[in-house]
Amino acid sequence: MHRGSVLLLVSLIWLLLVGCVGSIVPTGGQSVGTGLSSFTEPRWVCPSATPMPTRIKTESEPTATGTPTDPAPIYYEPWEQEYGLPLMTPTPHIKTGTTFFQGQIVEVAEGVYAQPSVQATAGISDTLYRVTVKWTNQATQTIRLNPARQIVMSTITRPDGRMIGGTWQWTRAAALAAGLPSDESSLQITLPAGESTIVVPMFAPAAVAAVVDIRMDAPGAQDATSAGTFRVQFALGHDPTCDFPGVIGANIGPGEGAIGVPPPPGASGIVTSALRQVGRQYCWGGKGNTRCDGYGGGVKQVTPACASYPCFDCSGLTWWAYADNGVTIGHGTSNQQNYPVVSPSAAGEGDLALFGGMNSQGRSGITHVGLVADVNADGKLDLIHAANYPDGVIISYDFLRSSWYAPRLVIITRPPRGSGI
Amino acid sequence: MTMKRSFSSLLLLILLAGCDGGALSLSDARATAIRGGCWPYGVPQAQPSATRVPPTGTPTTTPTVVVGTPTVPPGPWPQCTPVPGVPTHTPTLTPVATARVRETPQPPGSVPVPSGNLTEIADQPGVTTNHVAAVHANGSTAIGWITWGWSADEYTDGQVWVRIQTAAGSWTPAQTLNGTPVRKGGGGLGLAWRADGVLVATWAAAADAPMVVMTTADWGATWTDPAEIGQTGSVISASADPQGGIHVLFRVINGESASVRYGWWPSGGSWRFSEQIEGAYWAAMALLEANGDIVRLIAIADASSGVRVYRSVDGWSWQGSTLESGRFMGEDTRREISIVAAPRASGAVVAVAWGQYSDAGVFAVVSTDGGATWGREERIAQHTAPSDPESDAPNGCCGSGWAPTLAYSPEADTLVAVWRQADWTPEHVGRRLNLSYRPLDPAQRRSETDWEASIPPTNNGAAGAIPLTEWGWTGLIASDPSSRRSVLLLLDERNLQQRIYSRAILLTGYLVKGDS
Repeated sequence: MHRGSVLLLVSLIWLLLVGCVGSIVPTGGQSVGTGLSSFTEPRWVCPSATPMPTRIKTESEPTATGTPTDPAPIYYEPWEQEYGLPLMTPTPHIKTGTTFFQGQIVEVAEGVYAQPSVQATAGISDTLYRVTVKWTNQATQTIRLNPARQIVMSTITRPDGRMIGGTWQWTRAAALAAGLPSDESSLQITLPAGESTIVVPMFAPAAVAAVVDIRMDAPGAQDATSAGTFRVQFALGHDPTCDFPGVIGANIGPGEGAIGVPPPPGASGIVTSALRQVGRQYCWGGKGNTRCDGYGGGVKQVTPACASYPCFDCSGLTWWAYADNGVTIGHGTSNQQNYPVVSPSAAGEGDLALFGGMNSQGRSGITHVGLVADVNADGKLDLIHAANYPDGVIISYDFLRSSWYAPRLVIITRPPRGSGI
Repeated sequence: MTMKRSFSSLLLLILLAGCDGGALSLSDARATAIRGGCWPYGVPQAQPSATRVPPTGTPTTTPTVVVGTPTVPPGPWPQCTPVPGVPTHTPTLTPVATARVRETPQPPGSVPVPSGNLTEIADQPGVTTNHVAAVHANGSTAIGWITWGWSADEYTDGQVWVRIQTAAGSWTPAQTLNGTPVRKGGGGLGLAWRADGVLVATWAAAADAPMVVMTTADWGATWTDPAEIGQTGSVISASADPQGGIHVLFRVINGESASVRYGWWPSGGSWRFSEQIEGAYWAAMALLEANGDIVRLIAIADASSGVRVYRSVDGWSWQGSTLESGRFMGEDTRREISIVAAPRASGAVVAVAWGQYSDAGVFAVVSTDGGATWGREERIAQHTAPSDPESDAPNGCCGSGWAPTLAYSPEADTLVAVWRQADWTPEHVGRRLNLSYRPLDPAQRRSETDWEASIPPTNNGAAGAIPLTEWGWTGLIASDPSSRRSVLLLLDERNLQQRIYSRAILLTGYLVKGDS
């Protein structure tokens, strides 16, 4: 990875129109191609260090020294967690989409990473904001930007808590107030290979910068039209999943970008069908053939509307995997628990593992189901399941040794099915 | 294939009602954290209360967890700390199992923008709901919506947004009405223009929070402070009558049941509320002025008992009429109802439309005497043929229609319906907004059953209706009380990114028969 460090402090001059200095915002900014060959789904990869302390012990149980502790929540240290052996792989947390948080390192185009942040300085009337974007360009292609047009604040939060939408961007007056050079040639920035920094000064009302946009032009765009702008937005906030700003150049494996996981040799049709859905979104009530409006057939919206189709809930995935192989099983965990029971030691692929817990209404009972398989052919049972929103359909490996799933397993059932299915 | 594994932790629980796919709780979601080594997006993470050290004598380095001040780990990937007393096992770096695979991004440039003069209202992160448009006779337009999930916690970060077009045609900046975030699945939003140009907004921070009203007389430059109206509930819609009164339709959720209620704020008076109109969830309201009276018309869709319209001239006593429904599809899934009422040269037209049968059909019933009597059920679209032998997909075929909204064109004396169509055939795979229409003059109708540009069940596809957008867009239509001005609210809501547009349309320009 090239680590050359170049600092570019950029401010932009717009042609001065008599009497309008400071109020003119560049809107045209002709591009000579963006340098992009295609859009890339923006993504943020958190390194997700050694599994973080997650487990809360609410019951009395002996510690490593053999002394029972009080029945109070205890947050386990990584070395105390029961992951079994071998130790689990440190898995990156990956978020894809178009909305992230300020301060995060996001791959906004293939091999092009941006990390925006905002500093504000109160003025007499408006506040001077400096939107700083740290870039890392690993792409072989040359990336061109017009920071005055493509780096803007789109939402601010006033002191009274109300938010205002709009477009606040570079002005010459802001550049002068910031003490930054304002060179018209800087309207066309070529991101160098390696690291660079762009500072875009702008005036806005006294507020907090709630959302910053980086507006990527369409590949091959020859002019600057809003219709060709792909907005990657950075909200003010904190992702609860990870405190780190993210990593650059993470290799998340060949499966990224594709739906489904290849089945292991000799996998049954049911397991193969379920594996094809890995990566799909979770939607309550989803059985693979319905539009996901988040209502799941009920009167209250319980999940967001889905951006992809199809989507599944836990029992919907198992139902679909069977249905895809011509076998009709009951809907819902209330029906899927009624098939012949098999012991964990006799469980095999295609069986249904049902888990207990408290449901959303606070009632105890079976709340989750997944499909048993041996995805990685290591002789240990794995679980293919629609976990939740937004994780969707995932694989939980060796779930019988999982400190989470094993104690919550209630029953394993085996719906009748033909041989070879 | 059967594999034997030891199992020592079988926990037997009393089996009660299954989840049937219910969303996992916070605790359940922790499972992903444990197995995936990271926290699922949106799940708040508990932090350790203190740093703990391993027992004395452990052969490994004591790990340190620093609360609140994390640092970037060295190297591209951190190393796992081995469990004390066990051989070190160097982790591999092939984290493909939990890679999140999202829908391929569809940047705006990949989907043709609908033709016509579009105004971008918002391009925001998150999911938007409760879209509403209100049009004044002078051309002022207000667009409202609620956004969820723009920050980390989609359940508590709701924002009630409004953007307003002045009578001169310029749009003021989008702004929120709430000072603190509102809760998901919450209090709804209603917008209504009074004749004097005052915009009235009603909303609530949650379904069980007090509904409030705010007004602006300067297109949003200044607003009154939120004032509680005296009821808790979720706003369905708001309307203004020519005499300056504000009418609010809202629902009250009590456990698993919902009821529809009505409130009235007469000009210069105080709020009044009726008793429960009906125990239902889906409802819509329209107003008619007749002989100096304000006639309230509330349409209710109930999944099991059908479609009814309640009529009142005083807001206290209501007379209900059950409309014909189930003529084309008998399944009890009526929902997403809408109503329009407008004066005509003689009498007044009232029309009710709803979606039905797993959202596969859109139907309507029309009255031409102000709601006193009603015609038979008519078909705007029936995307799915229940027993289509040519289809290999469940439930017939591959489309659905839902969320109809209605308008009336006085110039053409014609009703207009706009609805959302989903089509999952490979050649489309997406959603779009369609338009159909129905002349009120029987002599101009080609069918007593179907609207003029509709999608019949034998079609199963896109042909028939008049498409208002390309695939990938949805929306709704709204008109001013005189029905002279209409606005399309258009939505491009892919990738969990919300793009909202507005476009003024002239209904008569669409009233031609589409290809079929």
